[in-house]
Amino acid sequence: MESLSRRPVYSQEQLSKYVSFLQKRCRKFTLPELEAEIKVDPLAALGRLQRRQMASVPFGSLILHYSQHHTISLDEAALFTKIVDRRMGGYCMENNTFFATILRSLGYKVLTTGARISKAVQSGGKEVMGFVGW
Amino acid sequence: MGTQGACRPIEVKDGQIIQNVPSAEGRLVYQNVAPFTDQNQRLWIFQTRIDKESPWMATFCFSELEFIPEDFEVMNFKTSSSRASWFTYRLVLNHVILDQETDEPIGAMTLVGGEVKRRLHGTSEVVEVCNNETERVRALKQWFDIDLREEEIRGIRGMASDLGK
Repeated sequence: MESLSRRPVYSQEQLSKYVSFLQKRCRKFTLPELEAEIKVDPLAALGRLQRRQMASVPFGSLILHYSQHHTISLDEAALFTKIVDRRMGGYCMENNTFFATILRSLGYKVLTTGARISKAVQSGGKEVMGFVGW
Repeated sequence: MGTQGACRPIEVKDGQIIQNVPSAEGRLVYQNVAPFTDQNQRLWIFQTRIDKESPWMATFCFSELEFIPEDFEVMNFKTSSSRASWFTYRLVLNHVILDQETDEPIGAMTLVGGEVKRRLHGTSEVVEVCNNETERVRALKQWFDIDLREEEIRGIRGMASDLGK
């Protein structure tokens, strides 16, 4: 019986594709180099990968406008196609679900929690206090 | 969170400060939040400020409670489909720009509606203003390297975000 605490992981082939996808907007590196860096200094490797992710995976609402379906899926395969193959980015839950799966696939132990966004951010500074729901 | 989120790991410790996309900074604090009726409960609040002279602004808050995929299904449903959710009526796209030698953030590329802005080393520049869909689709390719399919391009027709032909 599948354990409910298991989370999906990507294959080595998918990780290679992801690394190739990142190359355009960062200093060149390979998957073996990344795996070696993680062994030596996992925190530094994490920070670097996080920035590379943020450079290549845009945050935004693209698919809710430029699509026929106007929906968002958090399925790990759908996210991989959208983010890596199509380079379309995603919004917070998409990009963070995807990146958490990438990190788990690289051997990191990831505890996922949700966040409430501040109304100050949402309102462009007009509302200073308060948060929107999860 | 895009370019407003943390761009490096931050230790979960009250008062921790990190450098964000220059010259912004991020900070984690453990505090009660105004909407709570219980003054004793506290959350981790990630705050940002655009530079050392500006005030800290709350960006998001979280606890250490683990969320499961089913939780995100609920959250995703409202955020992606409610007509009151800004994602559904506003087209926004941004990503961080890195120094290609150091992988450190030096700026950001932003699209809001029809305006494309590039921020580098603290200076913002409007690089393009799109007045119709043809221009914006081309801008998405040029500035964001995104190739839209014809059915995707047509999908925006009639939406609040549609810039017209």
